[in-house]
Amino acid sequence: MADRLAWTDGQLHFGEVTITTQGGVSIHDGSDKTDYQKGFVTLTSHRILWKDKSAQVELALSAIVFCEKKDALLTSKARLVCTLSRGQEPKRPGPFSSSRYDEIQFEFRDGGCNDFLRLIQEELVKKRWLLQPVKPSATTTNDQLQRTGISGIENHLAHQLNVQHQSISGAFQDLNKLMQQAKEMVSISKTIANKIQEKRSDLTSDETIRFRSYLLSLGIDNPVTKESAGSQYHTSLAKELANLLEKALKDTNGIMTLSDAFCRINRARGYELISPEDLLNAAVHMEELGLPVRLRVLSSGIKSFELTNRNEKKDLEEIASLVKTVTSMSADQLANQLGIPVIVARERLIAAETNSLLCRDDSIEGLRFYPNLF
Amino acid sequence: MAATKISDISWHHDFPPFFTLQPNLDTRRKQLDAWCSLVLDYCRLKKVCTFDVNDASKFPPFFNAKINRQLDNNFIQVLLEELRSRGNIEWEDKHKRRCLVLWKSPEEWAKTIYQWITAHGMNGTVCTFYELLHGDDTRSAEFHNIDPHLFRRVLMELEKRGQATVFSDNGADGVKFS
Repeated sequence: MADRLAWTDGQLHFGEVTITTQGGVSIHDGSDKTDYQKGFVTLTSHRILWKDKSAQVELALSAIVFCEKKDALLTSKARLVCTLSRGQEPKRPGPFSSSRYDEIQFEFRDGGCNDFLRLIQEELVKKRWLLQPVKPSATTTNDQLQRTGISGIENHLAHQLNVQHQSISGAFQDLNKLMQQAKEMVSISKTIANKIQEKRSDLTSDETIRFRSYLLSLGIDNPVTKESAGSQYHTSLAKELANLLEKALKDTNGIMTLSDAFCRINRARGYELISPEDLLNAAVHMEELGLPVRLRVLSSGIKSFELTNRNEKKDLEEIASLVKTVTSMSADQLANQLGIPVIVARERLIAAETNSLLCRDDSIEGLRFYPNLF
Repeated sequence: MAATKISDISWHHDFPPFFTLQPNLDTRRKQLDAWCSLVLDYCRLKKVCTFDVNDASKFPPFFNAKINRQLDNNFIQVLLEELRSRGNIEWEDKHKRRCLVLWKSPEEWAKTIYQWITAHGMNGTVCTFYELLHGDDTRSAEFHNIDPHLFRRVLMELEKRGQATVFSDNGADGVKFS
């Protein structure tokens, strides 16, 4: 984790205290040797500073999870191994852009490892950097310096981009977690379903019903997804849709617009939502699969689902007799009475008109339909 | 002329869809049938023999204040065309603004008039248009008070058959039946 090392000017921040200093210390990225050999290391209440003639770097104590000593071997001196946390804060400029390890080792060529370890462990317990969080003075001055000019604008843009990037990746992390959890929920609901099957005899009917209601509230217990169905995706989806819509259609006069169906389906799925295009593609397959639901394009061009066994003639006659009872009717009124979308109601009325069951009155009061008395 | 109200001639007149041209062709046919007979019945009752498209909005059958409906111009055109194709109207001008309404065909009119003339022994007599249309003698005749345009059209029919000769003398139109 040498990438957590950052450049520094070696100045102490306000409230920062120097604890100890030790010479002849080399930095290792994990167990790999680095160019930073035999420098001076300084422990402060906030950081570990390291410097030699050419460079100065720092490591914030807040990044250290814990420290331990690795005893001297034949080939190397005693080492202080610092395990680092995976940082959430944006990376500050430093000598290493990336690292394979999650630890940094300080090799104490000239001894002093034991003292250093004791002191750093004390500091890690005290956590003084939390009491007096200080902004690194170097960075602030740098920021102020670069706030003007083209580089200032560039810096500003880069900063904004960085912030956006973080919030986007944060958002997607949440989504991924949600998906993972949802998948778990599905597996749980499946196990429950299996258990119900196995122990059917043992369970009372009340318990079974309760379990079933739990399952229902989870939505569809095994939604068809592109991953699970592959090339059969649309046909399988068509079957699932038919299952789901068949009952709903019976409640809505046997016809439902594609947009309504889309909402209902995705509401039932809860996650692994399908796109309108998938819905349409699946709907196209319905007729050839002999499903109880099929796609139908209304005369107005609106696509809708309807029950395959629907008796068109009987349906229209029902509507005509409905109109007869109130003398005349607009699409609005029919929609209200049957609980169907206005656009579908209108289509029904026009269909009845085409079958000579109704006739129209198109006036400034709007389009109304009357029984066909001609 | 007992029945003067339009609703007495046709129940359709109080039915709002009657005033909307029906898109269903079967229904439209029945609707136009009803309209044609309404217009002709009305004209027969009121002895209306001509129709001017410009006055269409004032033609009583074409609106019904009770249900607040009236025919739009497109419907009137369709209806007039329907009447023409059935031989019930004849355009008098090229622009199709004025027409004769023939609730009786010209042949039938010709027959009616010639029978009346024969019955009254007026064959060979010269009569003016005015005395035939508005004179006291013809008060009981069906052609009494009919439109001069229509009358002329009927006399043309009689001329064709050689049963009458129309002539004009100093602006006064006359006819001699043979």
